[in-house]
Amino acid sequence: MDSKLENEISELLQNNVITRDVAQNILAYYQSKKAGKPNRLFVIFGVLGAVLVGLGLILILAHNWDQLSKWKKTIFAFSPLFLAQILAGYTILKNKSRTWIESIGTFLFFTIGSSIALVAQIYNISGDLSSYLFTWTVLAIPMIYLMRSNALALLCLVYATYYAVEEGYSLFNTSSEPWWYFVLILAIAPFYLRMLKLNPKTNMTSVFNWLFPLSLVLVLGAFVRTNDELGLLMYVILFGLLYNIGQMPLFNTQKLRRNGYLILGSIGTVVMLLIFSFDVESHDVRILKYNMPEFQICLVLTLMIISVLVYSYFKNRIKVFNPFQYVFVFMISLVLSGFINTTVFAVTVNALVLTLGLFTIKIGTEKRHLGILNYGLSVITALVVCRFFDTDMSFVIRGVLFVCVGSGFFIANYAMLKRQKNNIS
Amino acid sequence: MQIKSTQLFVIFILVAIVQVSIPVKMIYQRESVLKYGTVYKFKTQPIDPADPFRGRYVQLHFDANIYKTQETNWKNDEPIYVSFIKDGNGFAQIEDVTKEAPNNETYVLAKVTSYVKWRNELHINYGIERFYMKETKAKAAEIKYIESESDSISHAVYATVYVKAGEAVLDNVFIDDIPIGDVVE
Repeated sequence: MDSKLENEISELLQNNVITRDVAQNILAYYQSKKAGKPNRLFVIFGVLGAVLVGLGLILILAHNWDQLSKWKKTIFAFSPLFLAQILAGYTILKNKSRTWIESIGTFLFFTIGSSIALVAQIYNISGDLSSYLFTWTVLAIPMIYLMRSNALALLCLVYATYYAVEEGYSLFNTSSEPWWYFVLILAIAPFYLRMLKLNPKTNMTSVFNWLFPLSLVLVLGAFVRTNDELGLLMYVILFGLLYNIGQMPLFNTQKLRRNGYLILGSIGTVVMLLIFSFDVESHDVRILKYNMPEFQICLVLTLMIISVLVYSYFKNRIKVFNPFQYVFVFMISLVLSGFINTTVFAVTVNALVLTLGLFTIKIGTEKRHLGILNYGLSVITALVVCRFFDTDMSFVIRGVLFVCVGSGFFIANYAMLKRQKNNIS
Repeated sequence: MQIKSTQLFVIFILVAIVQVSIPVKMIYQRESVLKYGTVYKFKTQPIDPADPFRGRYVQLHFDANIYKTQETNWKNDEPIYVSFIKDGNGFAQIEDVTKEAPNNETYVLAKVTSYVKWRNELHINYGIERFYMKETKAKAAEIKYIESESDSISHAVYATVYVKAGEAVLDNVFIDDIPIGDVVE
């Protein structure tokens, strides 16, 4: 039994807040709830152990035991894989516990990688890292569904991202767009959707709620090739999409910290707008070619975001106007209009950031949520800090702006705390 | 629809076979080239980097990585067919680089790294530029090579490569006819 809970209950008992019967009922309830659940610590340590053993195996094999013959080395390459496969088969047949599934799934994942790596080592196959990671992930993905292993799904997501980053970002300009990343993600997605449907409130689903959007954010930049301006717009649309997904009841009804889509979407949108808010000499969209990966992705993301909005509208979920949800419309029209006047563009974007900041403050005040309130104030602060670097603005105006926002922080927090105090009393 | 564990197991067996077949296919292809291919000696220079999964290796720079040609119509990453002949000392010489597969068996399917116009150089990647070595030996091999280059005697540093109808397998690297692994023993 949780000692913290026991302490709390005995304190309540001592102060006559609850009766002895109620205390016993509470303890019995938590005990019965715990009995049905597998021990989470066992699962975590099982997976951690499998990760360490798997990685250790890869390192031991990477040493390159050149005193062994080619065939002995080949046997070493395959034996961990065979062992893991036998264990995985046994786990599936015997319907073993969650701890087994997660640990063996993880172990199998690493043995797939180590067997390919060792064969590549024996036969001196150069093959770049990205194609190796791709083959590895492709071979592991079916196991997610066969074993229903969360840890395996997580590893596949991480390695799909690793592949895309390795393939797409290169210092030596030899990189190419990692289009296959989307196929890998689509292959993992049904498992994630199943998790959302069956266990929306578990910690593992929350981890996915963060890692899935984070993976997209990391990889998208790999598709920016020639047109940086369109690349930035691509990110604005992506963050808009994430924010709109985060607004869906499936995520929005959960605790904010479990909603990676909403937080990443919101912060990302503000950061992208701040980048656009500088009054530069010219915004260079250059020639827009339809076969540019930037353009194609912008188009697909826009269609996705519109679908999410239309779906939410018809399900009657859009009740209040939330500017975060429509930032992408402003930005697409601004960028595609070719920035007739760069100053008009900068002023519009600044106004947009200010609106978002004020809107967040309003939401924070309505919900009496100090975190949201201060986030709104931080958005405005970030805008003011960015303007600090624009040398063409008078020092006095900048100084006054800083003082105003600083006072805003004091006043807003003071008022909110006072209101909370009054409510309690 | 609920799938039974026995059905899952049958699918698992198929997946397990695919998981094993990829490395087995890699082995089969290389063994076939080693058995039936033509062996060439590629003049080379080694340096020592590391891979997080496959261990330490010496990165080889073959003379054959560069081909002088007046033709300028090359795209990066484009597949090309490189045919070889042997010179008087048995070292590989590029006979021709084409975009279509030649009719002989002694060519390698490679990729264009880049074309350097002002030097008329076509840079080629064969996919055999890594020679994996025991972690304690790779650095020593590079040092040995630098030492052998700095003395006054000229040393022959080369790799033996088996070639068969597009495939190339790097077999070993030698300094003065001694395998590089034995040189740094």
